[in-house]
Amino acid sequence: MTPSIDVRIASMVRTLGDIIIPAIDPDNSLAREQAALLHGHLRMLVEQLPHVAAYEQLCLDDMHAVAGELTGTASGGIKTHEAARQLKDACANTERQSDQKAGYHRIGFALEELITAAGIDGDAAFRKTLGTAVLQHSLRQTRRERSWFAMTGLDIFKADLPSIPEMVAGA
Amino acid sequence: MASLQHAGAGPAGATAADDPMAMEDRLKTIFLEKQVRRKLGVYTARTNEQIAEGLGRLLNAHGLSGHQISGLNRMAGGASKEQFVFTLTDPATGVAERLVLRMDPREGIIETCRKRESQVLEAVKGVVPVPPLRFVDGDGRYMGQPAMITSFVGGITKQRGGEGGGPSGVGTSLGRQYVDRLAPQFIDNLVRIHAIDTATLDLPDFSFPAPGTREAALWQVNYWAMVWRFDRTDAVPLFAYTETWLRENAPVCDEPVLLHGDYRAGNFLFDEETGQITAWLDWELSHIGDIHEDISYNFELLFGVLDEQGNYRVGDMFTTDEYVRRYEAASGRKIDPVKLHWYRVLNCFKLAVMNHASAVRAARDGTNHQDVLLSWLCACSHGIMDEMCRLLEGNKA
Repeated sequence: MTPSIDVRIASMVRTLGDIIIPAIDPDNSLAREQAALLHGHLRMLVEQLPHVAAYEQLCLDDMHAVAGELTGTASGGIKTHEAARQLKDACANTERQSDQKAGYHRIGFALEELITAAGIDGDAAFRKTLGTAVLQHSLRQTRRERSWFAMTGLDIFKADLPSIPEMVAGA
Repeated sequence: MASLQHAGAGPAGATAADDPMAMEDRLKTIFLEKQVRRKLGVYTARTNEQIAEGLGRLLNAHGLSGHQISGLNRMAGGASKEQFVFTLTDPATGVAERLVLRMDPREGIIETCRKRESQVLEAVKGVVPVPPLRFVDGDGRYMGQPAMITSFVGGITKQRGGEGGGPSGVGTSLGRQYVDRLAPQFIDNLVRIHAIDTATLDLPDFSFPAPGTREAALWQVNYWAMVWRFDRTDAVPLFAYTETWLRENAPVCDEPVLLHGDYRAGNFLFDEETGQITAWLDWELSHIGDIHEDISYNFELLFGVLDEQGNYRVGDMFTTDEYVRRYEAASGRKIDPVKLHWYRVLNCFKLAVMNHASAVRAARDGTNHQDVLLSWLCACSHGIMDEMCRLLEGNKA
């Protein structure tokens, strides 16, 4: 376990920034650009690594909760009910496994099928409930992801986002 | 997993409303070709030697085998193509021209057609400034990958040493000294592009949606939904919801026009001394469609900056209200707020699919020459999706 992953990544960041990047031919624009991105990725990993498990659990818990509410209220034709049943199965299977990221996507795929099915034969009231739930969940999830990747500098409102530790603590 | 077997045209006579595969034929063809090509596996950046060999074959095919290639250098910047600059000298006259080679990698953030891009460059020549087209290798028979060569045009995309401007020119801040000079040109050039009579256009690889129908809108939804299905690497329930909403609310396009498709700061060059736009670049997303698609593209937060008061400015030049007002005044057209809203959602969907699906897929599979850039750019998809949620909720983003 020693040296730890975070120590190894931190040492890569320093070596890349202090030794390798300065030595790249200034005329090799692709290499310079790629090296700078590599440096940025590694710096971001240093910040993210201590929180990966908590982050994935947080995302899974929220997706699981939304899916649970929807399976309980699904209303419509055959396609909607079948998709709701499969979503319920996906939630149950996830509870029995430990890979949070895989579980998140398993439920997510099943939720997508429910959205598509409800678009075909869901009741109007359920479609409204579904739409609200999906949008509200998506707003929470995108906010989490925006915090997670704020270090890229690509978010115009990054100053308004909680830090990664704040985000995984529920901010 | 999406299947190529279901990727054909719908029943004869099916309209775009019925057929999820109703879209421009050429775009469908090249996208499906990408699915085959991706099986070739990992792609590495072309070396200068490989490029020089390809150029030799291309020039030979044009009867220019005696011409000399020198100063071949790869260009940085841009997320979708391999780009090189080189000098081509005619030994008989000594005349040298500086040229730019634009070439497709195996897979990338978007799948576009060099034949289409070359056709539209010829179509808008004389209407707005564009790099002169010199050679096209539309199917890649000489270069190994589809490619296009234009003349090199001088200029900058933002003030030298200025702040802002991430990869691919996102978040470009033009520079205070240029904004007042560039703003009227930005509007004028867009108006000119939209004013071209589509009946006069020679665009053999373009399909033209029928006016007075929802084809212009639905072809876009169908195409980007297809890209999502084939390129996705994970689950995003928001996309399923958005696709349904887009189909149910697709507007009629009364007058399809030529669109740039990626009209924004970062995609034009201007003269550092005079502030005159010298060339509009990156026409690969150009298609025939609704003006609201080009207009709303600049509402995307990724393509502007915040001013000192924290207000969003389109390409660092205007507020969104001012941008619409100036376009309406210059064009004589009226922007429909309902259509503008729909196309804002479409543009978010498009950009999110590019960055969250195609880019990640190419980075994951190593089928691009700059995986680390694509995996970096994917991060912007979350801000785009946040904006998409707010638009769908009915809140002004």
